[in-house]
Amino acid sequence: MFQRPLADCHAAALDAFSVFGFDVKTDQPDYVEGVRPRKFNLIWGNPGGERVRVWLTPTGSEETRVVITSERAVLGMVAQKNWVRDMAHQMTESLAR
Amino acid sequence: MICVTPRPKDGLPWAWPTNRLVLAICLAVSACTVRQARHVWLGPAYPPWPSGHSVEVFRDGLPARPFLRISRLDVHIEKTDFRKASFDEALPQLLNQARLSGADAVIEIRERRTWVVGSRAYHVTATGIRYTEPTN
Repeated sequence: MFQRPLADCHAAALDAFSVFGFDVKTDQPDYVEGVRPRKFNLIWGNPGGERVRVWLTPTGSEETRVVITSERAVLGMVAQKNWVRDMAHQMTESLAR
Repeated sequence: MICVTPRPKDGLPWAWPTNRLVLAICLAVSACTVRQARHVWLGPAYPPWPSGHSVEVFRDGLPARPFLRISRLDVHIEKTDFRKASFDEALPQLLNQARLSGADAVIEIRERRTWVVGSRAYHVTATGIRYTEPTN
């Protein structure tokens, strides 16, 4: 839950996607979805491919509920990570500025 | 007397050149770099500058002239294996985004390096500004 209006949280979500190198696939006022581009690595195989979804629900004029989910793709799962904590942290940092 | 020992062969006459070729292809493919850049206006949108327009860069401090913060600039470079990206590598894209957002200069540059399994990420965030008074 962020004590900020929906528009600010939406902008913070886009900032967070950018900071972690996600391609934004869906950008709606209350929903943002991004996928990390795939790369090839000799040791780790196929990093990237994680899909992160951010749902934004205004619960007041100055309050927004944010739900973040992170999914790993089947291919290259070893070199993928859960981005929920990083996204939440980055959004908090963006909103604090 | 100089004695040259020939390389051991594994029985297949094409094995050595093929191995080298495969290795060269793997190294070339593994040198994977992802670059992303964007700009977001902090207020009203400004018309972009032409590609040759000069943009000032302030790594530290702020310009003496009065200015307005008009855009947030992001450049993200991610490389696989143990290769690192540097600010110099991100600078052309940073300047390009500044021009596209109509900025005269770039300030408040923040660099961030992260390591995600198998790749190193380098991210630059900056603020594009527009001077509010013409040059003397």
